Amino acid sequence: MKKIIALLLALSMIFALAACTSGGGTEPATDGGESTEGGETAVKDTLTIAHKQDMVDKDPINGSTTNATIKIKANVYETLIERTVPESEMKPLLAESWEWNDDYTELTVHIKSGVKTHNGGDLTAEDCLFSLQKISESSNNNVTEKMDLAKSYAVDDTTFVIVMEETYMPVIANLSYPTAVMFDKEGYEEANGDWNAMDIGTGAFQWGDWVSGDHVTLEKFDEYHVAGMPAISEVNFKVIPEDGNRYIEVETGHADIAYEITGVDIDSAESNPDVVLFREFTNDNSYLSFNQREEIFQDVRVRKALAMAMDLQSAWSVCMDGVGRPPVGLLPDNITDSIAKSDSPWHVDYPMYAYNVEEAKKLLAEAGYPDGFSCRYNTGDNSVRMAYGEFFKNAFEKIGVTVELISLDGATNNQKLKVEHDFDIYTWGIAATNGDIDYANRYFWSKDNTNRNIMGYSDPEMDQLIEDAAREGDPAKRSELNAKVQLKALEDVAIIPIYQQEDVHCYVNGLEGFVNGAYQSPLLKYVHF
Amino acid sequence: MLKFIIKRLLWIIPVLFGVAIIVFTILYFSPGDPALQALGDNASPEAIEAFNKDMGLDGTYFDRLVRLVTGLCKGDLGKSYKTRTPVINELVTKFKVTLRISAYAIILGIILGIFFGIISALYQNSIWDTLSTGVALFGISMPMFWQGLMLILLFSVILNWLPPSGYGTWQQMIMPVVALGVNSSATIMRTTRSSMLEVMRQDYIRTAKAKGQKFSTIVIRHALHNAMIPIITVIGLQLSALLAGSIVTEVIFSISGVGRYLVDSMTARDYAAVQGCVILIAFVSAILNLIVDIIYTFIDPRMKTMYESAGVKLNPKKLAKAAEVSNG
Repeated sequence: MKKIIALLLALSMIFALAACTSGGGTEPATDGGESTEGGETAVKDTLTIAHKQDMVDKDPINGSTTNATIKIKANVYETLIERTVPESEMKPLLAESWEWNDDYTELTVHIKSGVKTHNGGDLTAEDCLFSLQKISESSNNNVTEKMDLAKSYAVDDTTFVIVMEETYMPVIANLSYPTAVMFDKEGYEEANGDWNAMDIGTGAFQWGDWVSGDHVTLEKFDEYHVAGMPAISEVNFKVIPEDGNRYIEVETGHADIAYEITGVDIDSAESNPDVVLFREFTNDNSYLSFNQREEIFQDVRVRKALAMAMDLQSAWSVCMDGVGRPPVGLLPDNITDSIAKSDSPWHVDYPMYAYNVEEAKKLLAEAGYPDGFSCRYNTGDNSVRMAYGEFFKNAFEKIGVTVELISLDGATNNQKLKVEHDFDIYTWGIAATNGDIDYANRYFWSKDNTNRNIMGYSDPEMDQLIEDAAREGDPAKRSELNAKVQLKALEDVAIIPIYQQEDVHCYVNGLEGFVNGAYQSPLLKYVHF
Repeated sequence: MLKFIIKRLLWIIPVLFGVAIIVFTILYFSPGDPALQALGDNASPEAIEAFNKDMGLDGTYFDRLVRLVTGLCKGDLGKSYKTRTPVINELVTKFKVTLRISAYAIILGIILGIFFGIISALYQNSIWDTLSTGVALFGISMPMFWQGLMLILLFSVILNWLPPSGYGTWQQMIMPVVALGVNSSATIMRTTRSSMLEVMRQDYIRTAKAKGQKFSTIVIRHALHNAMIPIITVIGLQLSALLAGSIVTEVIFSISGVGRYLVDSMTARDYAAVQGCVILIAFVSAILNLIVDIIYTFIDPRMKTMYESAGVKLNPKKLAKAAEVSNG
């Protein structure tokens, strides 16, 4: 019997060993890549990307605008104008050029000739107007705001005119927004608007395979309108939700790029000679603000007192693992017209109300709260924002303000903040998402109906400034109006920016041309080995 | 027996409707707006209203409940709010993945659990027993997510033998199957050990030994066969636990199965998908329980008579006739 047991144990060990060691089978991301044939080294032309979340849908206009989804769609669909990052310049993409009439009520757009769509059609002015019409009927219709599409018209195959309801300068930035994509009218109508059944974009890549929750593949579009692009023939987005695993995929050679790696992996990536780290500040600030529908937070002295109780530099050191940076202004300095730019004529140092606990206590007493007060603080379920919540809870207690931290999941937190307005203090993000500062200004616009003005800030003077800035065609005057909006928001402590966010990706050494596009979406058409 | 199986299968229908109604009610009252999650921050109120109408999220609690029950009667689990495609299509694809991993995990669990359970019982208090029970204790105590992370660290990062995530190749299957299976094997091992220890002390085992039967025949035919009932019960319970465990494993190893689909759908407030997942898990659990009950009858034929008499109304005329015969 002992012999039998020993034999069985030995067999099980051999089986386990065989299962592990014959693993040559791990399939590194170099498949189809650096094979040698006849002594010549073939250049790798496939790309595997460890991606945090799956794409939600293929619909570019009515579909999801989550960052993870746009990171994929931005390589399949294209806009008339491309916003460069981090310079934030508006450059021609499908449009060759554009010009305003004298009173900024008509925008004439000349599109490139010879642009092919994935279904073999030619992109025409009529297609562009049709695309804009469909966008205006979608849930993302903010990009066609103030356009009078019924009156807009095509001049010829490559020229069309967008007629505006009123002067509205952010329209240029809106045309670079990832949902303002152009597509083939005929293809759209043939598929009856079913985005799962059509591939009618103009991007450098066309749809390949999509296994929901697992991977999305894109294939090179051979008739792409820029000669020599893309260098990559196939892209595979592998969905890896676990933060640490995405970096491991690159480290172990199972992916070429890992999106959104976290602070704990930055040190490993920096010390690894086979991995290149990509870091770029986004145009987002995370901020803390107050429910200004409540009497206590309508008093600007209370808001100032809380601002002065916050040591932003220390908070960043403690909570951010070296990612991002303490804020440099109300808005990041990479946004056009941001007064955080050091060369702006309206530049003010941030924070406007520097850390001073004694002064904060005085202000609170002046406002009628010498013993402080109690309030709730919704951090959401983001780990960084929760860490900041803990830090500021302690900071506020030093001036007598007792805070109850509330960490709800994303959907519930959204509901509490944006629908029910059931909160006292909260943390959220502010950005010029479309590249125009007007997008950020609308966080302080009392007539906002897109849930940006969560804090309920309301000031008729501010409303007027924001509307005037959006209508102003003269760049210098517009800059001045935008500066006034920012100064007022800072003086009123409408929000307190607490840190600037950063994109952190990594890729294998040997990969070149990795650049971020608008909406924090890397543009893979530029990538090559 | 057939009647019993049909009856149990029919019972699954009201159970599923009950589960669906309970899940629907919980989700209906949970906070978080699906439209806001699906359409994003820029969605206008008109777009949200149109979305709610399109996805059947408008109307009162009872309107929506009636819609759900009517849909279920037609075998329609609804459309995913996120992808706007039928939930059933997604579920079928993802269930195949979860089923395959769970099946391999339970096979691994059964092989390791029973084998080491027998060894442990046969050589009670020996070094083998101490080793097996020690490893089993470790397997039970070790949280599945930690075990998964350690496997990735060892086999992917340090040794670079196995891919850290994904599904498809056999190499990608090893770590998820081990992470799921080890936990089950530990439970099965402990049950096998205690059950075998009890059986090995029975008189009929001593008789078999006295008859001079081969040791392997005594262990497998006489002892293990009679010790199987509690082991089968535990395996049945482990099968249901594996479905729950797959949620953790699929997230850690980035596998697109039902578990991860459920978590992602809950985060996105994709209620139709959540309902679909829960109904599927309830259905599978009910079927697994039925299979376990049927397996009992193969292990212990006495059970068959128990099932056959269950729910069978006795005919008074036949009873009277039987009484006459026995009296006569």
